[in-house]
Amino acid sequence: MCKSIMECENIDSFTPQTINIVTMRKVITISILLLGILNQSCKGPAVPRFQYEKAGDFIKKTNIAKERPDLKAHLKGGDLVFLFNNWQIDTVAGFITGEGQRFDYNRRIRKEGDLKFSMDSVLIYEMNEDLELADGMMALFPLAIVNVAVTLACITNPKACFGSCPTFYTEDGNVFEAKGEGFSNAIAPSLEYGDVDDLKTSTRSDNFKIIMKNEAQETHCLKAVELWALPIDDDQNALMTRDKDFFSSSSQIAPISAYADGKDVLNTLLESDRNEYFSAADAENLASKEELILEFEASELNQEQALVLDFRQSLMTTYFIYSAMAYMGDEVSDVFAKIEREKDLYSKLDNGLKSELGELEVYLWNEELKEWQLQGALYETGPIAVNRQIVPLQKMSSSQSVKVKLLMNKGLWRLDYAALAKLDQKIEPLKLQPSQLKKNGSAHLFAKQQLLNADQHLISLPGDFFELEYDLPDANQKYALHLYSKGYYMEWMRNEWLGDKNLLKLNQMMNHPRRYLKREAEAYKEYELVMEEVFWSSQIESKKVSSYEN
Amino acid sequence: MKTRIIISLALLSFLLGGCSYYKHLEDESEFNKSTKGSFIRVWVNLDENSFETKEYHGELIAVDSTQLYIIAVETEVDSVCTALSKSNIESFNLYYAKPNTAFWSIPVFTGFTITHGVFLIATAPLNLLVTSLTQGHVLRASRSQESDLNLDELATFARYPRGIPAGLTIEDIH
Repeated sequence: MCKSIMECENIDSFTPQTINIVTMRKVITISILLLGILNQSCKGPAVPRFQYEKAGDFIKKTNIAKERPDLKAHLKGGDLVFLFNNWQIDTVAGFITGEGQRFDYNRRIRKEGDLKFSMDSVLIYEMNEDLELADGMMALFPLAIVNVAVTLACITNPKACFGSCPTFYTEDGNVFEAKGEGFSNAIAPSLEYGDVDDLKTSTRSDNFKIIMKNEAQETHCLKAVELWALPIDDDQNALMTRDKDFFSSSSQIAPISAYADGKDVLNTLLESDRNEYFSAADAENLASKEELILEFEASELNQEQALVLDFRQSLMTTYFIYSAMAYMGDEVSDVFAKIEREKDLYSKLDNGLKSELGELEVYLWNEELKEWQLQGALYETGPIAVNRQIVPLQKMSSSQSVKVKLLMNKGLWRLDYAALAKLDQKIEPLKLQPSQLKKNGSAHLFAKQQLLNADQHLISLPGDFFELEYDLPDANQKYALHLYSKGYYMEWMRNEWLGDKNLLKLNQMMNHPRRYLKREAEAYKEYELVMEEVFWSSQIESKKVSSYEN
Repeated sequence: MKTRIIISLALLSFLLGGCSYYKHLEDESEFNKSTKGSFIRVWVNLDENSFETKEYHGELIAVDSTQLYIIAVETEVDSVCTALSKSNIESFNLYYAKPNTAFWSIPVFTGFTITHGVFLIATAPLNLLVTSLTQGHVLRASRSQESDLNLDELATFARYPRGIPAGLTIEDIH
């Protein structure tokens, strides 16, 4: 007898490894077959229908029952009497009475209300219990929980699911946290570049360890991974501009107000805690912009100052990269070869869509001229690690509050922290090469040589992890740490993308990005809705990662 | 590829064919109050030399020592009670109530795995399998067939559990 699904079919045997081998098409056929087989196999339900020829039999049963059930009496002529649970039986007189309905042999109602009939006229008595059939939803709850858990895991760590580029972790006790993403834009050899990430960590020791992982379906080619150590005083931090200029800073002040489209979002920007400000993309045009106005009490700051911003991208750019590769279909290698040969194509890729989406522009309010003045812009591709960079601001008089405007693409940016920092002095980093390198847990001299040799690349394949140790020159000195990584990566083509080949759409994306961003808005909104809604509906307040504003 | 699609569609239509009878079934909560016989589908082999069967379906009226009586519920005009020889009956499905299926869960759960990124390769088939198996089980658990009950046991679920009442002919029954 089949008591559960597991008894009918051993679904335990479908491990992820075996399922990887089976194609989706085959699985669909198998599922339909199983559905059919199940429909024909196993055993039906135990149906609680009880029939008695003698009244004495069911009277015994009703005496021990908590609640008297309804009674059906099949009469000899084919009629049926249905009595509600207030029926009475007189075994001496041989009558049954009660409120109910009497039906003829074709089940047309013959009489309703108080009924009385002779026990001699009854052929068979029937008393039933509630039928309880299997519930199609109840059995799916465990699966739903697994699905939501995987979705949450993918949202909180999209790299593990959606990939992009090398991820760097620092070791804080037993807790690892993604601190940086290397060269997220370098999706081909000719696009190789160096990227610096603020690890937002300082140390006072003689060595420091970095974990580098390849958690995506990509091949990573690393030319360099350097630890940039910036000597600072105990009360200082080191802050970096987009141009990789470093400043020591001993004080930061929080904004006193922050409004985005008239809504107070201050709470999301006060701490670097992954409680982020985030807006949904425009349903009509993915290139729509939004403004966020910050105000700082600047009475204590009248020197060199800068806006500090913790920021990262949403999954929008990941979506575009994946879409582009899907549009290329089976010609993906041809297109990438063309990118290598033609610089023009690279600039189209880099400037077309990117220029439409724009950067995260920072404006300062000039009270005298009554206008916003552009101070600079920030841009870092990647949805995982939160970047911390500064935009130096013009000097302001101490009597004024400082008003800063952020102009950015809707739905593209997540902002975690904003502050106004006093810049003490410009500092230079010590650029350190790894002294030890372990690959997948074992010391690996060859890999180390590859990384240290300027003419070679260290290759990292999916699942690889590297432990890189750096020696710091002075264990008594406090160092703020940044990470420099240089290289490129090759995104692996997915089978499921091949069916989405659309070179016309690719052409539109590259040559007419403005039109593309309008036409793709609807498709992206569906994707964004799934990604965001599931997350927010199952969010636990104490572990809030981001704030969602529609 | 074409053949595979045709086979899949044929299997699916065969499987979901049962769903067209849902309209004749009552909700689970009405099971106790029903005054009629349960809905039944019967496959009868009328020719010993052939594997072909003919399907009859409708309300189960009665079962006696040699025959099973049903009334088709789909005809617009007054239905006629049909007597089927028990010896010719190949198989049957007896439905008690509308099954609590949630077929929508198959595409919804499988589609939801789009949020699982690369793990979709594993989670999509897993969801497809589990939801299909679950719904198949639910569908199966809403009815009995020849492996669950013998023909005489069907009488419990007939309109007349003790056979056609004396004095009535099958022409009288609607």
